[in-house]
Amino acid sequence: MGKKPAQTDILQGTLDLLILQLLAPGVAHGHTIAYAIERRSEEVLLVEHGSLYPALHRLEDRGWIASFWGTSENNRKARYYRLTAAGRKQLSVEMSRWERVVRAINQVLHPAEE
Amino acid sequence: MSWRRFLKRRWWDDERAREIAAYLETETADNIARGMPPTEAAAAARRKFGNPGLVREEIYRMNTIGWLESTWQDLRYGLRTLRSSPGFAAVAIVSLALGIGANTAIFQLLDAVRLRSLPVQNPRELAEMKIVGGNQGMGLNQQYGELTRPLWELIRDKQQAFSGTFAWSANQRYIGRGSEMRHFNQLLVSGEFFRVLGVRPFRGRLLGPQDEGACPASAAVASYAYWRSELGGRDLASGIKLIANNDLVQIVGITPPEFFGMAVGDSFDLALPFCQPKDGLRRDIFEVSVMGRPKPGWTIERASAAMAVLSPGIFEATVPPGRDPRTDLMYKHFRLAAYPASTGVSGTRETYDKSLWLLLAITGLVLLIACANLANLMLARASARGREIAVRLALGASRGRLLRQLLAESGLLAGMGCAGWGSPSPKLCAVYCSGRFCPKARGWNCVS
Repeated sequence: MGKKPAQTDILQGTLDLLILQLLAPGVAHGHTIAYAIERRSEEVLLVEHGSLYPALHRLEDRGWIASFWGTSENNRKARYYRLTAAGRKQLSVEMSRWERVVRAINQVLHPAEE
Repeated sequence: MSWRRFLKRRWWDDERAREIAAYLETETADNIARGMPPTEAAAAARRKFGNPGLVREEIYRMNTIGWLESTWQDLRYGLRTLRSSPGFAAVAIVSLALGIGANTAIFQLLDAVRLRSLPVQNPRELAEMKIVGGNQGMGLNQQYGELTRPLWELIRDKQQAFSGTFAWSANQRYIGRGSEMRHFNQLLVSGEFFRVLGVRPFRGRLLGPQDEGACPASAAVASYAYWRSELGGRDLASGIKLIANNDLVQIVGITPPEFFGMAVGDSFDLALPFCQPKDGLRRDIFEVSVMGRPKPGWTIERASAAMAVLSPGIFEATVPPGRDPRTDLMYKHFRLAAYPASTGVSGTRETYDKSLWLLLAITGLVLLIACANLANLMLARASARGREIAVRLALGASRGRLLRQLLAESGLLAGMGCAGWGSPSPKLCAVYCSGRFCPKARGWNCVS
């Protein structure tokens, strides 16, 4: 646990947002989501795919995503997730917050550009 | 804290476990498709995922309610440790149960005799009128009797302090005739008795002013217990007639089950109205207890003062005949006062009051000794369990957690002690009540 605290911190704050964003176009199961995050973040985020699942559970518990068992593209059972209406609203809230934070941090780091 | 989540935590754990297994399968299959040998593929999938146990634990922690889960664990563990040393558990539980049991039994007695109010409307308002300092032993004195019937009639007619007054007396009389004759506990009441007390009939009607008249009385009211046991719970409409004191009386009503009369510890069987004997009322039998409810806004002290003002005239008019002048003078100087009577009167109370408190103190001491005993036992056990506790500390249990565990065990013992008391209590109490202690307390509501 002491090995990569920086990454876990990032995950804590942003994993929810990433999942919601990835589910916006349609349904997906855990394996797909994990690979999508890993690929899109150029393998910086989500080194261990297992840490995705508590986040999924949390989101589902809050009612932002819903899940159901289905059959995957290569004929395996998998738990699929989709965004709920509340989740869609939450996505835009989190998105705007994230952008505010990024802009704020950038302004601190590069004051000259302002 | 969400109970819904808490109650479904096991279901979710299963669900997530299946989901994780599905991930591992998919990943393994993908790895094989990428050209890994099967054993390598499974290991690589597990590496990619991380520790499934940790992930499940994290999810489980999200769902559960920490303190509840750990308390439950502590209780189960405590139960197991108790079962592993049944001798200790039995001694601890039995000593606690006995201590608690003795206390409860004595307290029930004390409660019934001393603390509980009469089962009537607003018992706190009731006041009893007595002669200050008693009647100095003049005349004939009956149990619970404080005043004579002529005194009562004067008080009833003259007093201004009470919105309602009544008088009653209790004694034992005979029912039936010849060889069929049996005792019964008679309650003699004035016409207003039931109305002022606010007792409502269980069946039929209760006695009223219209029942007072020349002797012999023809109507009577039975107590619920007497009606059930002696009269067989028969319907009143069929007309129940009894021979009480050699006169025929008709049962016109039943009092409610909780009403036992005015004397705690002595229940009544039949209530009869006061009647006027042919040769007049005697002025020297102190047989009735006079009670009343002060008018709204009147305190007992104020009522008492009003009674004191009234006293000279009343006593002047009722001097018992045939006494020496000194006694007459003493009688004329008697004063009436009102005393709170919310708990009724009780011969048992007067006789046993001090010994009851003493008994309660002693049983309290017994409980204390039992507790000290138990503390000793626990202490001895704690030193024997030093190794177990050391192991748990070494495994990472916090001091708080260990403390909670030990507390849970003590709580378990105490709970079982209380439960252990529950089973023998009615029997024990019955032994107390039917034994030497209060032989007359048949109708005592002591098991409740």
